[in-house]
Amino acid sequence: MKKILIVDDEADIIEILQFVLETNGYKCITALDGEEGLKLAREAQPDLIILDVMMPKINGYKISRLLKYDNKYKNIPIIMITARSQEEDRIIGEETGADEYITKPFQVEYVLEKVKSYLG
Amino acid sequence: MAKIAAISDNYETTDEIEKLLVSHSFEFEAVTKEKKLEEIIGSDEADIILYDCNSINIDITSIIRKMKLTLQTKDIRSILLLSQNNINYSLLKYANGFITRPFDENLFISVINSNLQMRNNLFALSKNNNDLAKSLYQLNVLYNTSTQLAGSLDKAKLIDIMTEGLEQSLSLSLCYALILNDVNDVKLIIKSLFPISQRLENAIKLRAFLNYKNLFSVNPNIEDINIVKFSKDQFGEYDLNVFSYDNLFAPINIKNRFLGVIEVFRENDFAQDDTKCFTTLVKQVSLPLESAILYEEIKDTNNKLEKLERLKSEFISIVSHELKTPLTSINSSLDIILKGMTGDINDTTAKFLNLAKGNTDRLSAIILDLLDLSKIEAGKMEFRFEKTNINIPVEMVKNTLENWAKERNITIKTDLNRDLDSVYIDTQRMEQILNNLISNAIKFTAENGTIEVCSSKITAEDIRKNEFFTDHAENLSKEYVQISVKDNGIGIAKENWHKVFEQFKQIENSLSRKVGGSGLGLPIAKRLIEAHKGFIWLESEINKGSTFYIAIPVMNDKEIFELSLEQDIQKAKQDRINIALFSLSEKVTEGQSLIDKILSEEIIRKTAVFKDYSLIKDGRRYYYSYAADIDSFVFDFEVRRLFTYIKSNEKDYLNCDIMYSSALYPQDGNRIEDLIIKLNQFSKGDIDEKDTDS
Repeated sequence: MKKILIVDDEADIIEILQFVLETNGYKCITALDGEEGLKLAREAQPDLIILDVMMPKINGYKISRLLKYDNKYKNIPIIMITARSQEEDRIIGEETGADEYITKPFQVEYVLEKVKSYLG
Repeated sequence: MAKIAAISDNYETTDEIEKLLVSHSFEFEAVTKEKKLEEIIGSDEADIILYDCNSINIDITSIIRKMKLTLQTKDIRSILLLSQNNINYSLLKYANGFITRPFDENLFISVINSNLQMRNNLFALSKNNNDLAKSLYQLNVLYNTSTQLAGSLDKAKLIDIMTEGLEQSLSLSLCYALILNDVNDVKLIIKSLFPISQRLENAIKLRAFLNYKNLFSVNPNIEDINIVKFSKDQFGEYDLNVFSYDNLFAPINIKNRFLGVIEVFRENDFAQDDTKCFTTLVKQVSLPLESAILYEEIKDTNNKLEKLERLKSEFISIVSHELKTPLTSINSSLDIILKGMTGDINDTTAKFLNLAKGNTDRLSAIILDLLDLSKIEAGKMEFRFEKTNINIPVEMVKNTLENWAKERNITIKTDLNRDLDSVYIDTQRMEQILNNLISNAIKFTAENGTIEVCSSKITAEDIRKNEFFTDHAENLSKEYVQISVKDNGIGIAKENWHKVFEQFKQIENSLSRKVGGSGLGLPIAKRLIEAHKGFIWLESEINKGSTFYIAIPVMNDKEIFELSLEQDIQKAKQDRINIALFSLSEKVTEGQSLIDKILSEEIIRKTAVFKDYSLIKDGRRYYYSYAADIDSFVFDFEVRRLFTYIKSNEKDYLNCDIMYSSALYPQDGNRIEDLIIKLNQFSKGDIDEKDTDS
């Protein structure tokens, strides 16, 4: 079973994503802040990471950059979820190396679709 | 009355002369004794001194020399009394004339008279000369002062320059100026030759305050007066006696506003010229003071506006995060239930959940639209322009909306001109505009209707002739690409044609509520089109339908370059980036006009363009001296090696970002855009990596 790490400081969003992903046959691990998220990303070896941008302690960009610039983790696909507009994130995102951007408010099916495209 | 003294040890002589002079109404004094001699030497009371060269007990030679070499007495006429057989030629060079014995009355009196005349003339001449020199000096001070005044916009400095000028030209004992910036900001500047006593300080404060109060309607609190004191000398002290000195007083006023009062004191009385000089100087300061006040007001307003703008941006970002997140939770939860993921739901439940879902969608749309609009208004909308065929976004939008149209039995027909020139657009924004227009058309078209989307070429002339535009735009491009979206909906009455593009001025409110949407779609579309230098307009007939048109200019490379530059500069200005530009000049000749343009817009605060490598060492100097107030350094590719060295070896100098860019040779328009985008990211601190040249 493929393992997905969800990092978001909003417990509601985590619960929703977790429900949808688990209903569709994925295993989920979750973190409520960036620090915990980065730790899990390094220790639990997830197959994909869903990452919120605005978080306390370490923000999503930083996590993405840290992982994508590290040979050990750079192949883990990262889907960023952001409340900013796409355009702003597209520019910053190109530098941080995330694979996909989804802006809030998002549709759950769209997230599911993106996850499926990476994990099958 | 002229006063004549005679120095002689011979009483007969002095008596004879006294008789002679007194009979002609001169005042006479005989100086015969040592004591009287000392009195007369060093005093300028006498107009003429007669020296008896026959005196044996008096050393005439030394007296006359002393008199001539002393400042106060050098202008006293000296006449020698000689005997015919005893002419002392060595003394003659100090004297203005001589009379020989025996004295002939007429000759004696005429020599005295002519010398008196001469003395008066010389006196008048030297006085004129002094006045002239003084006026010249005052003029010079005035000139200097006004030059200095013109160069400053700082109120305190202006007052300082003025008082300095007054002091120089009038050699004042004391001068004070009371300046009122604001009821809570009253300053009393006291400048004096000697330090002032506490008593005097209090008295001046009271005097200034009362003077001020008499003149102005505003009543500052005397306790709030802020005193600033300067004295030229450290020793000595002025006390209340300063008030017995001669004084001049003037209000400092600008048009109808009183700013303060100034009063000056001098031990010697002021002459008329001094008064003139004083009023001129005080008047001189009023104009620059007015500018300074205006400048301060503008600065103040600007600061307030900036603060407001910041608050607005903060508000927007709060809205974006704080509203979007809960909305996402609501929407996703509804989705999960509606998709049946949590189990079956009955039709009624589904109906109401769909209602909720539809409204959260609408709320999302409104939030996004509001964000867009405020971003456009704040000039913060980011665009990614590129050369594209406009048919691509048209087809893209048509495909996404087709399903929805089919649900309503509406056909979307397209008639696209395949032979269109590329236009310089942000494809994503163009899709947003087209999406707005086509969804509107779908919303307002009755079931089974048809929507026609066409692309075509039009000219500047077509735009000029268009009656929709009341004020005609200048600087039109030659050609435009036009997209039209035609529906057969309810139509828009002519008086509302322009209103549909104004925000929050919805027409047919009830309808707009019925069909959903924020009502901001068209205003946003208009702003976005304007950012593309394009036009948007409509034609419509009630109950027959509407056609919305957009026209985007077809630009050549030069025009595109200029537009992109304008946008970049705007952006950089907004973000207040300070850039230092380092470059080897032969490499940037292509981009020189560009650099000039950027420089003229004051984005780049400091520049160093080097002609060849040997000058690069100067670059180090520039770099070090600029490092403190620069946000970003931009280095031409060629110079980078040197600065890479500096960066890795002299870390203390590096508080600012450094980037190297080949974008300094903008042969094609996009590169400078990339440069500025990167600079923006630097200034936002989103990127850690400095070296982005790849």
